[in-house]
Amino acid sequence: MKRFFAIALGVLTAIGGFVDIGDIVANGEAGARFGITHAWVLLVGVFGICAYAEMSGRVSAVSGRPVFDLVRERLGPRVALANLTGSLLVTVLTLGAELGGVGLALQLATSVNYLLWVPVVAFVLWAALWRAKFSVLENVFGLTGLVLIVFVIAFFRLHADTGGLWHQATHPGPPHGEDWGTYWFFAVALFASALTPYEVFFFSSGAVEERWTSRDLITSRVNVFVGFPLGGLLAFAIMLTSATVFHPLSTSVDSLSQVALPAALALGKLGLAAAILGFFAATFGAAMETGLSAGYTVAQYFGWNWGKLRRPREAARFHTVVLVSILVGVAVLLTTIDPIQLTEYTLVFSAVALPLTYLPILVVANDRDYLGDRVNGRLANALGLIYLIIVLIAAVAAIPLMIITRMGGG
Amino acid sequence: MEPSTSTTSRVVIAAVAVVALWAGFAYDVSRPADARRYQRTLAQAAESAHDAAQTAALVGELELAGKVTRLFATAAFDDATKSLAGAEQKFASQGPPDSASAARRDELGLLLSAAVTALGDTAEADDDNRLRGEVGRLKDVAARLDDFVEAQR
Repeated sequence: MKRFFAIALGVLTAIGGFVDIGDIVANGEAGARFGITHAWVLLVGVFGICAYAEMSGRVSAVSGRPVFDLVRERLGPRVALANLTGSLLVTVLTLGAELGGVGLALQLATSVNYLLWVPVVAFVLWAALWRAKFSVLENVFGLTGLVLIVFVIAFFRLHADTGGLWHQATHPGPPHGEDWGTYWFFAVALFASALTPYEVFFFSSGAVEERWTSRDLITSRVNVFVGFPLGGLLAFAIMLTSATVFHPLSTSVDSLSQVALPAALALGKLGLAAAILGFFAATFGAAMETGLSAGYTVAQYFGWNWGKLRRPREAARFHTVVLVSILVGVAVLLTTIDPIQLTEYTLVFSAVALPLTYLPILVVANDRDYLGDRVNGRLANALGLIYLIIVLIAAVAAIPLMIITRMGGG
Repeated sequence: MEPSTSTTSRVVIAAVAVVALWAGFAYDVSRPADARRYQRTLAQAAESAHDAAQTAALVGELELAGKVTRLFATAAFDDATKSLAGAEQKFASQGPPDSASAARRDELGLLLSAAVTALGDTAEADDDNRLRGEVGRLKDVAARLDDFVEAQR
C-alpha cells in the first residue's frame, strides 16, 4: 500500500510539474492564433519526452548514476562540454523566464509590477533550494501545479464549438490571415516546450537523489507514461481554452493575464484564483527544477559533489552554481526584457540545443557496460531514432524560422 | 602545434558564411520600405492594437460581471496598454513611401488614437455605468481596427 501511494504521489507530481512557463506561453499563443491546429505537435512532443525520460530514468535507476555523468564518461569531455554548454545556456535562460513567470503571476494577484517581485522570488527560491528537502520541494509544487486542471474544467464550462475544434485538430495548417512560416515557427516552439532539456536532466538526477534502483523502474515508467501525458493534457487545456475564447475574436495572446482570462470567463473569481495559483506553482516549481538542473549538469561534468541529499557545505560548488544561475536569471530579467518574450527566445534556443541533449542519452541508453540487459529494446531505439531526426529538423529550422517570421510576428 | 590548412580554411568559410548571413539580415531590416512592406507594417500595428482593445473590452466585461478582481483587472489593463504602446511604436517606425500609403497611415493614426483614449478611460472608469460605456467604445474601436486589418490583406 505504501508503494502504491508513493507511485500515486510520483504520478501526481509528474502531472502538476509538467507544465512550465514555456508550455503556458506557447500553448496560449498558439491556441489564440491557430486554434488547435497544432494539437498534433503537442502529441508528438509529449511522446518524445516520454521516450527520452523513460531512457534517462532507466539509465539512472540501473546504473545509480545520472545521465550527464555517464555522457562525459562514455563520450568524452569534448562532446560532454558541447552538451553542457548548450543545455546550460538554455537552462539558465529558462530559469530567468520561470522567475519572470512567477513575478507575472504575483503581478496578476497584486497588480504590483513583476520586476519588483523578481528579487524577492529569487531570494525565496535560493533559500528553498538551500534549506528545503528535495522531496518536499518536488511534492509541494508538483501537487499545487495540479490546480491548472481549472483549464480543463473551464473548457467544459465554456461550451466550445467542439465540431469546429475537431475540424481544426484534424486539418493542420494556418488559418485565414496566417502563413505557413508562422505556423511552423509555433510548431517548433511548442515541440521545444514539451522537450525542454532541463526536464530530462532533472528527472535523471532526481532519480539518483531519491536513490532509485532497478526495483524502481516500474515507478519511473508509471511516472513517465501516466504522469507526463496527463501533464501534457493540462498544457493542451490551455491551448483549448485559448482557442475557444480568443481565436474566434481574431485576438492574439501575448501576456499571462490573457492566458488566465478563459478561467475567469468560465468560473469567475474562483477560476481566476486557481489559474493564478497554478501559474505560480508551475513557474516556481520549474524555477526550482531549472536552478537545480544548472547545478546538476555543471557539477556532474566536473565531477564535484552534488545534490540535495548532501549538506550544502559538502556540495559547496554545486550550490554556488545554483546561486550564480539564479543571479544570472535575475540579471537577464532586470534588463527589463518582457518575460513572455524571453520565454519565446528560450524556446527557440532550446530547439537548437535539443540534439546536444538527446543524442548522448540515446547512446548511453544502448551501452551494456552501464545497463546490462536493460539497454534499449528495438521499440525504444526506433522511437529514439525517429525523435532524433525530428529534433534535428526542429534544431535546423528554429533560427531561420525565427528570422523569417520575425519571432512569429508574420 | 599549428592548425592544419584544412582547419584554417574551414574556419574562414564558416566566418564568411556568418558575415554574409549577418549582412543579408542587416540589409533586410534596414532597407527603405516599399508600399507593400509599409502596408504589412500598418497591418501588424493595427492587429496589435486590435488585440489590446479586444482584450481590454473582455476584461471590462468580466469586471462588470464580477468575475475578476480589481487588482487583476488593473494588471490586465496595464498589459493591454503596453501592447498598444508597442503597436504605436511599430506604427511610427516607418514613413509612408507614397500618397496612398500616407492616406492609410492617417486612417490608422486616428484609430490608434481612439484606442489609446478608450483604453485609458476604461482602465480609469470608477463606476459600472462609465465602465459599460467605455467597454462599448473599446469594442467599437476593436471592430474598426479589425476592418482595417482585413482591408490590408
